[in-house]
Amino acid sequence: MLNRRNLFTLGLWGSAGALLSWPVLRAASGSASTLRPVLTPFLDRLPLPPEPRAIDWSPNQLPFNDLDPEALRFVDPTQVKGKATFYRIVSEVRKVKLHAQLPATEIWGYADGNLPAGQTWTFALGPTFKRSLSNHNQFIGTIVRHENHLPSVQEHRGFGEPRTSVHLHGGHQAARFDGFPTDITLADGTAFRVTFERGEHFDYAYPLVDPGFFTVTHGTHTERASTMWYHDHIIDFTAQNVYRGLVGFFLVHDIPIPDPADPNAAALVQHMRDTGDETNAAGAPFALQLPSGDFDIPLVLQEKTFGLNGELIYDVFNTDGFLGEQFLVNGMVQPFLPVKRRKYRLRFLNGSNARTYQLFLADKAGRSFPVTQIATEGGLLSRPVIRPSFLLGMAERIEVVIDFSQFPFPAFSELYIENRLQQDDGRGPKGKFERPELAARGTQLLKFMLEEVVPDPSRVPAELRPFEAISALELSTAPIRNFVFERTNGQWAINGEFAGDLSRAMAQPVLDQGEIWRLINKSGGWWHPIHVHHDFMRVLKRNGRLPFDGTGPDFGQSLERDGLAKKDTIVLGPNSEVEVFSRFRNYKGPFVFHCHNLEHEDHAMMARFDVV
Amino acid sequence: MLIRRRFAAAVALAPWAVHWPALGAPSALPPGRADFPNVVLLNQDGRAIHFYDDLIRGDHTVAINFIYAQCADICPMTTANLARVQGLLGERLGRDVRMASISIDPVRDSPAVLKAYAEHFGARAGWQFLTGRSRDIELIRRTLGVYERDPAKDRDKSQHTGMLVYGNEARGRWSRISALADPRRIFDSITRWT
Repeated sequence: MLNRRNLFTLGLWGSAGALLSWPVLRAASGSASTLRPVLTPFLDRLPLPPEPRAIDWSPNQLPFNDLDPEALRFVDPTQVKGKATFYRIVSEVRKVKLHAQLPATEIWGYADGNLPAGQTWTFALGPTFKRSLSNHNQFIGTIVRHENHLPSVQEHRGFGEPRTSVHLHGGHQAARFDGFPTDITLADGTAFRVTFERGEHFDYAYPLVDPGFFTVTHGTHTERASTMWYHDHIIDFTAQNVYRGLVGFFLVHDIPIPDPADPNAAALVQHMRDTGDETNAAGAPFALQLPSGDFDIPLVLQEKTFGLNGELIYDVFNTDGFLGEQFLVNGMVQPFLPVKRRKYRLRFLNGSNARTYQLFLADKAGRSFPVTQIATEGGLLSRPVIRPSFLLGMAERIEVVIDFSQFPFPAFSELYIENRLQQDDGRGPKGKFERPELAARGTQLLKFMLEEVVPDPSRVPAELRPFEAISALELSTAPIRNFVFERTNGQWAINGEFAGDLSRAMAQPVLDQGEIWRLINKSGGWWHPIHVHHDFMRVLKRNGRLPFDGTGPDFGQSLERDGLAKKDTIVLGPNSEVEVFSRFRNYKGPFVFHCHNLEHEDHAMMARFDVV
Repeated sequence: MLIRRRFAAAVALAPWAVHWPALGAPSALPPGRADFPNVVLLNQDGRAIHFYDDLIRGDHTVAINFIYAQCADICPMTTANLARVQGLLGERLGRDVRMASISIDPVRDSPAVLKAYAEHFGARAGWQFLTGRSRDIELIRRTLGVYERDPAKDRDKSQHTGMLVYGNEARGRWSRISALADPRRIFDSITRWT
């Protein structure tokens, strides 16, 4: 007879040895609601959601005749100045298989709203956008209409709030299109209405021009292609909505051919490096030929907890940060990916609510092998850095190249991405940022099944995208702001102010004027990855020292030093202080910065800043 | 029976140190009868209030915070701030939104003490001040997740939560906000679904 104790034991065996499959149960305690499925890892192939289908249009026949007038500013209806690309994305309730042994799970997800009749979107993630930078031309950007097909706020029962606002994370776009979390009234009395619910839509204009474009010189064109993602950002309920599934990738490449109309074209050519074509068919003189196409793979790490019927389980009363029991990559529990023995570009995104990872490339026995980091949130590093492992805070992106030809047959037939960071609750992982506590063996998140050797035209040059660190002169004149993140009486505070009052701005940086922001964590043992919207950060100091640049002891800590990397999310370990330089370009208006532990963000570790 | 009652009394008198397992287990279903303790509390008028049946259950927003009358730290500011929220709520107090301030010093906070406290801040009907057995209030605190994971810190009453837990049971929506937040921000949050 199976009593509770037996169930528990079986569950442990099931997860450790993968000998028993569904419906072996694991019981954390007695009641039926705490029974959990035990899932065999590596049964499912890694999902790779395709691009959304663009909506074609003819001159003077816009795809949406009720296009938002603000978005229309980035469109030339005649197409003379350029042709914007239109998409329709729908947020909807759908059932998706997240593991072979799990009944389909009801999620909230983004879907391509322009599928041919009769087709449905079957992925957990939304479509993967793959767009090129628009160079100097804001009229060849991307327009995305997001339609909300979720239940109405009145009808919905359960966690999550079906009112939405979509943030293109890593994108540099006008305030109106940045996914501000709530509707507000601006200082001049105008309404800033950016959230929408069932039956409503919102038009987002993403010109995808370099920050600095609108300046006389068209900017320096050094902020380039990167791995971005889009997710819901509604006030107080982002954690629940993102956990329900409102997430997708948005990848941006450099264009391979400069626009002949660009007066800055000559200066641009040397920045056309991350063109997304390893064969460099266009013959761009500076193209890097990084692995591309089928060999360029975005990977979002998420966690979820499931009930026996595959239903998503969440704890609405855990505001420390929710940790799931199952690990998903691209919306599938512990999937596998067949790979050729050649180079791959892997773009890691931590899309979890509250878990920090430290990732290793390891074989079955746990022997680990170095990987080559080439990029982070702000796109390519100035040079590649070989890393034994890498820490990945919530919302951080790290891109690596792995050369599977280094793992010959028959010694190697499979490799794994393994998380070894120790973390028990939403406060954060164990240890310090500079020295996280690792387990000897961790959880295998993704399995690579090594196949045949194939020709590999891709390269990883010793120089990627070099750029100058901010000059000492500029730093000496930059105003300094301190932002202290604290916890008192179980509440988050920023500079002593409680509860993210977004009706007024905590700071008003001046457009184009560089500032130094000191991000200070005084909340004891808690970890906070701080995300600043609008423009990238240059990291100047961490705890009074120069930030890590890949030289010296490498414990996996973020590569972040200015001149090497540009960041949009800064991991603050316990009692850390990080100094960054930011210059907010092109767009005035309200934006936010916040902790990307999503439960912290919702409760209300978030503040508004207005670029003026 | 006698033994059990004596045990209960002992618990009621025990200081802050009782160790409880984490409650409020994660669930797919909106939290309901099985998830909330239906313990009996006393309001400032000495009336018995079942925590689930009389306060939580139904299609209204409930907004709960924790105070004690002798608290000199954040409680007076918090209660004064919630009095401003009460002002914004107007007639909606008690109808669309039920407010409850629960004592974490129930041994000293008798209904009479809480009644004086409520009157001092001008609390109207629809905003109740609740006391009860220590064990029951601890159960509520655990269920709503407003405790510190570090036990030493959790025992420090001066560090008790300043959060206002709010939700709508019928709709299964729960969140929380600092009880010291801008009153308009609190008002917007707790009237979100009505």
